[in-house]
Amino acid sequence: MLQIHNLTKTYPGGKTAVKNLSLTVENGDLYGFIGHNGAGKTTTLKSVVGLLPFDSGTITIDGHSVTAEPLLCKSMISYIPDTPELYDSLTGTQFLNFVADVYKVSKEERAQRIEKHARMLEIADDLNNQISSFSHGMKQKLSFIAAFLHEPKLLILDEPFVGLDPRAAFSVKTIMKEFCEKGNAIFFSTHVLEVAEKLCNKIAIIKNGELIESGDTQTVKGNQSLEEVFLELTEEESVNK
Amino acid sequence: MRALWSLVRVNFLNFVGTLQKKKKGRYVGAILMILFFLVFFGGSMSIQAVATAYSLVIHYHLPNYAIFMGLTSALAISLLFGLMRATTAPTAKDADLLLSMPLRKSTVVLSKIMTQYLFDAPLLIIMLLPTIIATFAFGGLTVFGLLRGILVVMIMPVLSLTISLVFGYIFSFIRERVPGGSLILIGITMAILLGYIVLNMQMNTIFLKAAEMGSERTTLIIEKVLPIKHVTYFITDGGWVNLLGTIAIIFAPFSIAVILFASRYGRGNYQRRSKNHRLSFRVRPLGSTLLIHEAKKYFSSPLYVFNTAFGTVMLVAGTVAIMVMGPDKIMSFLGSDGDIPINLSPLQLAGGITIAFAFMAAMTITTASSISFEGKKFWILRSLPIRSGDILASKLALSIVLFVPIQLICSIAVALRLGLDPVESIGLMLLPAALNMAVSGAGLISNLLLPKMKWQNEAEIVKQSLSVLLTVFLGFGLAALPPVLYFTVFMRFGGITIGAFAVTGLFLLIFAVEFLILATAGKKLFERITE
Repeated sequence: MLQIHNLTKTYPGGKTAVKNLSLTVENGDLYGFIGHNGAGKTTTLKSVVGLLPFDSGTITIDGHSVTAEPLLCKSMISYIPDTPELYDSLTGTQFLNFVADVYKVSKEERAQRIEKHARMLEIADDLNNQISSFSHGMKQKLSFIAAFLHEPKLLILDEPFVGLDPRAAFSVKTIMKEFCEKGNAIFFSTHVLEVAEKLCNKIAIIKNGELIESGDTQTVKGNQSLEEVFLELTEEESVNK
Repeated sequence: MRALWSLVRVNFLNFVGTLQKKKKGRYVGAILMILFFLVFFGGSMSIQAVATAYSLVIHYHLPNYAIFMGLTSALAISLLFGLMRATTAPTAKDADLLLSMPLRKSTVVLSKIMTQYLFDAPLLIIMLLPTIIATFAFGGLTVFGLLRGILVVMIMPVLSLTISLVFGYIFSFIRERVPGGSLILIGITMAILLGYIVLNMQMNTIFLKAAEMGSERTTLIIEKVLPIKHVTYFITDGGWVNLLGTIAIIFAPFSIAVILFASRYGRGNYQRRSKNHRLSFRVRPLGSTLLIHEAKKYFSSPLYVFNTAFGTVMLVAGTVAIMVMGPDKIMSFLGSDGDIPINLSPLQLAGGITIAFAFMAAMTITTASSISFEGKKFWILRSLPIRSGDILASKLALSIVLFVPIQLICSIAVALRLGLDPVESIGLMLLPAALNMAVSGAGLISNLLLPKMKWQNEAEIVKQSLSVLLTVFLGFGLAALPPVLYFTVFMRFGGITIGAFAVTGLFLLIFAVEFLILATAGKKLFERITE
């Protein structure tokens, strides 16, 4: 589904955020991407979505290069940033209709999908209000509804659980699992290691822009908890340096 | 007191921080712009003030009236500035932080007001101080009069502050509580601004004519305008009554404004909640979706509309005036200030009106800040499967749609009222439209070259960005081209109609080149922009 090969991204200031990063997300994967603050998670995710140009390497979605066929790739994915800045002056419905129009989702399909996800995330009664009145969690929920509108094949999520109440977090996890069970894939960054451990079938750990571990969750963590493995790996790296 | 000073300092540093540029050119660009503004604005105001004071003090022996006119102008500018400041939605982002600290709310509020005073004061001081000094220099004021005048100059910015705080309170209330509040605000602001321009023009004429009639007449006018009367006499004559009157006029409304501001500060924004829970889904094709989306974003910002739609408002108001007055009255109105009677043919008059329309076309440009306006929301458009060309086209289309259809209707109405033939009408009708298209394209290119995606306040991109300044200069330059070409070339060869068609052709050619640039290099520039 998603192939990142030797991705390198250096910012204009000279900081190399990601160095030769390679990983593969396959159909049905719920792939967690973990790392400390400033490790390069968001840079990688933004490069995948096409928000950031990168220096070298290739990123393909379903065999299509994100640089050569950006529109085709974007039509297959959905992205939710860590702090979704939405159009505050629109109502929730207006925003969802805008996204649905862009993805050419029919009236019946959008109605059905919006109502289903809005009910699950308990935001249906607020959709006719202006986004400016929404809390961070509500904006996150709205972004989720928008992300699922066109039934993408791949979801790219940056810290998807930040700001969600426990019920919403549970609903989001359920939606994510169902989504992947249908053969789609999710690649998401998180700091919540317990969630990553329970939810993901694959994990990648990034430190200072370099991938230091990746693979099946069970293989990566062995008999330890993911937290222990993460601390161990990042500590080892620090000692080596 | 120490806390107050710290807060004012933080506010000031925060402002300075917004001027800071990365790497080279740190502060330099911002300082040069401020200096240019001060020299240009201060210089022109000083020259005007000295000329008026010379005329009124030396020629008419009316020093009181010189001071009165200076104060009236300062009050009018205060109204305008206060109004413009009030159109920006109040953002007290630091309210929670500051109010969670061991600080009195009154101290925090006072620091905010003091900071705003420090930003407003220089401009109003530049407005009024030359009048006071010139009146003194020409013998119209004593030394004590000069000192009193300087004192008034220092406290006059409080008036602008009062106006901005009161309007800000009213506007916030309308924005939050009234359905369609933003649009209503835009309407109110435009109406006030238009009224201000008309009134200002009329007042200047009335005031100058009164000066010719002598001191009795001017005294009558000063006596009638109560708020200014006490301030004028305080400067020229002094006296306790006038001092108290001045303090009451400036500080009584200010106290109320401060109470209103303090009542809102830190309260958070009230949001109207919809009672309608039925969701409506309407399918639109991509082109219209993007255009409607652009329009919604545009109309959601009164400041953006206020700064870019005024040309359209003036266009409509001007057309209504022309329709009502007719050619004869327009010519007598145009000739009312001079000794030479104006006698133009309908075509010449229409040519003049078309040039005015062209300047209005150059004022109605939304593209110069339309990419920067995306700001932190830029990720939405970039992550959606939309061609960059479609996004640029929607931004260009909005700028044109906001002006051209209305202008075409207005031009047809003017042509019918002046009795032009169809060929003449078409030539003059197309010129402002073509100019608007050319400047819209230039605005978009300049915003692509100079995007500013990180901003805290809409004013930074709508009013102060380099792409907007460049587009304004270019727009006015292009708008000045038709009269220049007419007087240098077409007056002798071809005439007005041929000239109008030729200049329209030139503008359309410029637009075609811009379109080509946008379709090629423009798309690449757009794709390179990051938040």
